[in-house]
Amino acid sequence: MILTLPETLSGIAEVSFEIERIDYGAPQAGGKQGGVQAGFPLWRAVMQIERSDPTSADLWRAFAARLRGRIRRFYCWDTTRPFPLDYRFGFAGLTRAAGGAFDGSATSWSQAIDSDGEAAVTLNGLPAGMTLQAGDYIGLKWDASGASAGSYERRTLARAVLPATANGSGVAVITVEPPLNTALVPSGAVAHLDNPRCVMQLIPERSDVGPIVGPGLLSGAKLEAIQDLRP
Amino acid sequence: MKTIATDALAALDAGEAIVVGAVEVGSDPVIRVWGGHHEITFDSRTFEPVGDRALVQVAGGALGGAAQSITLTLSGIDAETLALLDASEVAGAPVTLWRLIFDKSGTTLLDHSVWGRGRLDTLPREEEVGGTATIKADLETPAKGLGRRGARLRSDADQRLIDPDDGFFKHVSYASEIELYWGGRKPQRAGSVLGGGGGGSRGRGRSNDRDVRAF
Repeated sequence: MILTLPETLSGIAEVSFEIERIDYGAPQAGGKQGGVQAGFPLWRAVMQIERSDPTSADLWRAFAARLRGRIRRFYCWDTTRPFPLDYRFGFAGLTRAAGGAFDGSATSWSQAIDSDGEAAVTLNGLPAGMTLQAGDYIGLKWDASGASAGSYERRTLARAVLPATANGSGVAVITVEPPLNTALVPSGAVAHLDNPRCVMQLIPERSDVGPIVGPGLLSGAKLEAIQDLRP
Repeated sequence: MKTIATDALAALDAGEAIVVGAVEVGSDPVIRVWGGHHEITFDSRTFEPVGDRALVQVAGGALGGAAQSITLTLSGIDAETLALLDASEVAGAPVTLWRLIFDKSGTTLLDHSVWGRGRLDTLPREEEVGGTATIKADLETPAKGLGRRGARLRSDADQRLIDPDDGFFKHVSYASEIELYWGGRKPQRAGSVLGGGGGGSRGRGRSNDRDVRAF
């Protein structure tokens, strides 16, 4: 069972949703920043919840309790960008270039890495002229082996780093970070723009739910989590 | 000498390589894990993903490591690494470490090379209440193993233990051992530190230094 972030009235005051890369640097006196990067990038989220109303406080405390420390995983996303910037209220009324309602998912996707190491994700089946801005997310979801079809408990994200526009055929080529690991993400995974999420696990030693003060107000909470990427 | 692919060398030189470690422990069953997130096959071996960056740290930190033992820190909770504790024939099991070099996008494996080999020495498990659970695997590399004493000598008596009719060493005298210092600094003795005191001539001291040492 994978939980999801609670929808609260108070919301989340501060969100840091970034790519975590670990470098072993070897800077030289000559100015060259040598080094290698250890392992593959993962998404890391830090959510600061400031003083919240009693109902939100209950929801956050319940969420933290349900996570059971590291035991349970949860879907996490950049709460500032659940939809592309230009379609922040959803895709209602949009149609795919080839016809049919657009529900946020591409009909197919692929990734190409150029000689500079830039990852370009091609999404097919978008509405003609659809625009994506830097900071929009592409979600990839697929089924774990043995899981029931459509459960989509395997997820990852890529963030657009340059604006892109779908052509008349509904094909958009989007430069993303981090590059998708095509050895991990199956080609049959669904690429989607609506509520892109990844699966995360709490880091309990860096998380804390503050005390309740006054009339049931939560004085603050911090939840830090790291992506749980599995095949 | 390690042969590293040209592309990988170029990536290392440009500081844009992504480095991941892989380990094979020749226990029963054989355990193969690597620090990525998906199964990977190279050298006709398939490695299970543990997503553990510490594996990289070991491989990365073991430069010139042939002369020293290597300590691998593995997660104490991953099913793949926990199998180490249950596996039989773990003691002294051969361990091979690979270093995998990926391009800057992390999608193309540029090179995989054996980074170190050794034998599993100790396997301490550390569990800190409220902290982390790890398995440390101490690997004894070949250079480290040179310091180990065996019980056999290249003497006629020992050779005949192997084969009573084998007289290969019958004309070899029971040789005392002279320590050789291969490129290292000779250990100081009290005599040399204190300015040749001790009352003995150097010649006598040298002959007394001889001791029988097995190999």
